[in-house]
Amino acid sequence: MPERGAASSSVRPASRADFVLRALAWGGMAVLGAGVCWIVGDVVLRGVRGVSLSFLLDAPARSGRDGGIAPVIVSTAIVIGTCMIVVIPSGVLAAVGLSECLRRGGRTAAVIRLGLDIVAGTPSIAFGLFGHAFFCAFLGLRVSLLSGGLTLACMVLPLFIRLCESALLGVPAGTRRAVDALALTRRTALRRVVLPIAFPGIVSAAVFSLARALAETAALLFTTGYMLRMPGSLLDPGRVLSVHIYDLAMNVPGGDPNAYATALVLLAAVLVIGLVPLRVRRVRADRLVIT
Amino acid sequence: MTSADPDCDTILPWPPMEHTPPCCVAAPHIEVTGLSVSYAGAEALRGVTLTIPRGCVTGIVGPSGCGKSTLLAVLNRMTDAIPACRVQGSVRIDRAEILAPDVDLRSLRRRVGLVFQRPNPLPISIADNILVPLRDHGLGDRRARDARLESVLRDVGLWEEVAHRLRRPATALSGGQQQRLCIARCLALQPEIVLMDEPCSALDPMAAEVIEDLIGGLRHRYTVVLVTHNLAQARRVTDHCAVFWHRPGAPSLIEMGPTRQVFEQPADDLTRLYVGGIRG
Repeated sequence: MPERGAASSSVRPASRADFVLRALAWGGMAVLGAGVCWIVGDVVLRGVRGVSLSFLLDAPARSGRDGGIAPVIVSTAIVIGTCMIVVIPSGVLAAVGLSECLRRGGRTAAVIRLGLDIVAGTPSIAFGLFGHAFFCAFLGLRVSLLSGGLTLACMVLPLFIRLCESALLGVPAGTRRAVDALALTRRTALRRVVLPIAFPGIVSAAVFSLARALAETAALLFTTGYMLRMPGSLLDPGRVLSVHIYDLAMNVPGGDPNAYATALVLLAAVLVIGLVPLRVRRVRADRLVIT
Repeated sequence: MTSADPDCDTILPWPPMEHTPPCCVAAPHIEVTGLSVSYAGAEALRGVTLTIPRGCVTGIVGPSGCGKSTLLAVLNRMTDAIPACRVQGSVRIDRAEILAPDVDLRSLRRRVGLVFQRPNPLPISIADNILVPLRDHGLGDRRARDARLESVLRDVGLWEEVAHRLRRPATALSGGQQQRLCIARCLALQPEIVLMDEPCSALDPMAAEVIEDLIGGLRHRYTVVLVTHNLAQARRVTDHCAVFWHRPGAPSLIEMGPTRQVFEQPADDLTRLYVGGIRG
């Protein structure tokens, strides 16, 4: 509505307070934008020289100073894959239980939500200690990709459940009342109405959680370790991208160039994954018109 | 059409529309006795007693907030979903109490359909809006369901408009078409009673007129309870009319009777002022 925008900016004289508010808002955005640009620019500028096809496909040499990051990428994929395989089904089910089965506005649901929020806010290092004690030691999974994946799952699950729940609560009230008035079974309501409406939101939730898991370092130091070899099984230790960056930057003199190159790969991965929900929304929208 | 013909109720349930005699009968279908409803202590309806005749269109009129929609919500127990809602009294459909705790809500809501003020098609295809509820309630085999899809869409005059795009999303229809689809969805489950909560008020006048004609066509096949703000509409399409008002204290029923009588010789002074457009 261009008329409206024009009217509010040209007809109504902007008051002083208005101007200050606007300046503050723009200023805040500029500071934030500059910060992000600086970090991303720094990583891109220093990392881009190191990234090549052979960097992605080769084994590392001299503790990672030379060579590539192939085993690191494989370990990362396995850990994140394990994490998401656990998180998505259990998280969707938990969110359905929370939003559809418990009484709306009831005490049980409120207590569970509070619990989830507290767990979601727990520092990741605490999850690392828990994962080490529970998965590695108690369940005997040792320091391994599996232990790391499961620890990450515990860490990400509360966030995923809460995001999924808000996607499910996005079902319009009118639609819910239609479902009630038609006395549809819960199964039909979920399968044909609620989950399809919530689907794009659930994809967003999964992607957000995945990005969070991808960035995690502390929890994995204790649970997957930092063995720089190609893993042979789920029960082998391994090193994920974020841990590789940490190790190169902190423990390996002369490791900085490859640390930056690895950071660039991680950044690119997060960016590509972040584009998935946009794509899904578009595909869904197309289907709505076509079918 | 307020004349009474005692033969009508023997023809129910649901003969084809054109074979039904032009009448509605005074045989009670829904009997409400001493109904009071409160939401978290606030009275929404007090001491309502009325009888809704079978096969007629009964209008519920009155100003905003006088308990019209609340009455409708009680008739198919939509009130159950509202927290802190207390319902007292008795509502009997075909002499069976529906407020008892052991009533099967699923079969009750199949017998008593509800059409909302705002069209609310499910965000699936036009055909699935009818077929999914049928399948969910286990009604008919695939063939019977497809036949029913066509017949209810014809009943609401939508078949010609959507026959070539049954697989398209229902949300792409116009507001009036969506509302007709919602009525068809309700009729597909073969209810005895159709509750309508201001079904025309969210639509433009042309679409509203189509729905209004449609409601007239439901007479004799279904018992229709129509909540409306629109007095002219109530006068046009209803056989009986109940007038609700904020009596001091709580909303309640002030008058009920054949529509012509309510509009032309109201017994209650408030009704006279209301239908005369002087109050409300």
